[in-house]
Amino acid sequence: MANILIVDDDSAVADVIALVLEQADYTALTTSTIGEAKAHIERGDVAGALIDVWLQDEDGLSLAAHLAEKDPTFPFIIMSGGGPGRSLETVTARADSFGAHHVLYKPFDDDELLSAVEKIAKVKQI
Amino acid sequence: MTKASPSPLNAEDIIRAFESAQVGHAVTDSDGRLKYCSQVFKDQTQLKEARSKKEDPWFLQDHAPSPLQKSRQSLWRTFIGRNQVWQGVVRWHLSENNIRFFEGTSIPLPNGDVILVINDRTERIEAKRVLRNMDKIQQEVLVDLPLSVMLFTKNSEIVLTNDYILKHIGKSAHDVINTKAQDSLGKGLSALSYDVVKKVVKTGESIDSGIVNIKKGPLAGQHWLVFGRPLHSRKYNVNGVLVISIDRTDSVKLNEERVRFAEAVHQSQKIEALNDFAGSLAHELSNLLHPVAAYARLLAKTPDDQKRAEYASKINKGTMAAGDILKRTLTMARTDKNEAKHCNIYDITHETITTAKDLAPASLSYDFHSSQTEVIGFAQEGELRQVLLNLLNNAAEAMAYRGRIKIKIETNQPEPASVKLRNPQQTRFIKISVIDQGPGFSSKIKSRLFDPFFTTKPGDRGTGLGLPVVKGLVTGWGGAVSVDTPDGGGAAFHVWIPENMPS
Repeated sequence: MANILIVDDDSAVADVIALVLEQADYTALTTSTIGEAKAHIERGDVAGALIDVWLQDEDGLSLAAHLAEKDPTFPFIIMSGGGPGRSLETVTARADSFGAHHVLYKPFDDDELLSAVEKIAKVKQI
Repeated sequence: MTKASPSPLNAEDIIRAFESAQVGHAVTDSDGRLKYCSQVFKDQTQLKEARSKKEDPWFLQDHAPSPLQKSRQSLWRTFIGRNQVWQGVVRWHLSENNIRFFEGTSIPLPNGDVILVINDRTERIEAKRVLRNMDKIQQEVLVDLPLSVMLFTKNSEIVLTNDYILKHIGKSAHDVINTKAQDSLGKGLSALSYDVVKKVVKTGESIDSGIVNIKKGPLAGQHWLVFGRPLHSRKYNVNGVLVISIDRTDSVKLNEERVRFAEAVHQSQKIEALNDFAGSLAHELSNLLHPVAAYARLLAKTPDDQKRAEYASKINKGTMAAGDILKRTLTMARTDKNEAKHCNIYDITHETITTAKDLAPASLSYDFHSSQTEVIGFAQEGELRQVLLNLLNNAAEAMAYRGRIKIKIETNQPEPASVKLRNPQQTRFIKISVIDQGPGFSSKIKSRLFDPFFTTKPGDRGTGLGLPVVKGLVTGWGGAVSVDTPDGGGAAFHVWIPENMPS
């Protein structure tokens, strides 16, 4: 099964998402920085990514913007739990504009996570 | 007329005296030809005795325009012909532009000759003319000023006015002068006319009505600044009132607009701050709650999972952390259950430092300085202890529990320049400074220190709510918190406590 990248600076969140994915027979990689995430994607380590918006000192949407420009076929999902001055509408609108396959609002349930990941895992196979 | 007593002077004495007083004289025949001129007469008129019978009379021998000379001629004939004394002002043109004014008298003598006496009054007459012109200029300036000038009698009859206000009611000065203000100006202008006159006449003093909002009549909705000033007669009775009114409608409107705008900005800033806070709170809680829910689902699905104790402990940890954030959030949005009051800031600070010392390792020392032991300020005691403990803990952590923390109390301080107070206050402040020897911080971090959920502490050590809570508590008493990074390194946090209850 596909290898999925989880970009989240909160390790408790990253770990539990990885656990849920592994129980559904995916493999998962976690990272807390955009630099590391880019390195994994460029090496082709992963089939898709789950990207949190509000990272320590970084903006997950800037990684989405980077992907939309440099690697438009790479599939990703945006995760958001809020943040200063970020309404869910603006996050969704910006995520859509960068071609996110799905937007997950924390806390989300496992079925929603798995059906979203299933969609991005298929992209590379096609 | 009584007969003058005989003069003890002879003619020579009199002539000499007149000449010294610069009063000239001459003798002419009945046609005005000069037969004799005194030296002063010659000097002032630049005339001299006629050399022949054909010479012009004296009054035709200057550079005056011919109509003036002709009128002199007819005057001469009228008075001298009737044997009458003439007295008046002679406008004498020495040249086209050099004009002198003489007070002149011509006295016919029984033998037909005429004595002329002249007295040069040029300076006095010109001074009077300048004064008259100045009056005219002042009046013109008053009429043209962009304000209303009205002069009333004490019975509010209009003596003088410009058109500035009158154009609002379709009238001019001409229509209203010598009428009563009540009759010609109508109700709408009462605030700028007879109401003011009545008040000034009653009190005898100047009044400054401030800005008057006019409610009725053609000026309704406008704002005028009104001054009334009494004009006194010699007996100190008011016999006139000068009313000056300035249209301030635009500036009042502008000011109202400014206040509305400031209020709107303030509201939007409040909403923005609330949005930021809600967003940050949501971010923190969702990150804590997501794993809680996920582990709970795992446990529900596989209750016999080997790691079930670990999952349950993670659920507990996330829930407790969320609860901690909620508790601190409630502290920030504190209620007024325990109100601030005057208390001895020195005692509270001293006791708090003692508590901190008891808990601190021996490698940490506290250096407390205050010039007085009774320092009264306006604060809430329990909250002040919490604020100080928080700052002392931060200082200790920044120094890795090693070194000296300096605490200083200063009184009678002006309000902090770097911090905007909730309401600018008319009080002095007590300033408590907590100064550490830690690494300090960059200006980027400094600007975010009081943002909720911002933390420089690693991992689980900070919630990022300590300093926002400090700020919330202190501003609640009308005080402020500021921070600077001294040149010698480290960080200095200052708590500003009002000495008196904020109004």
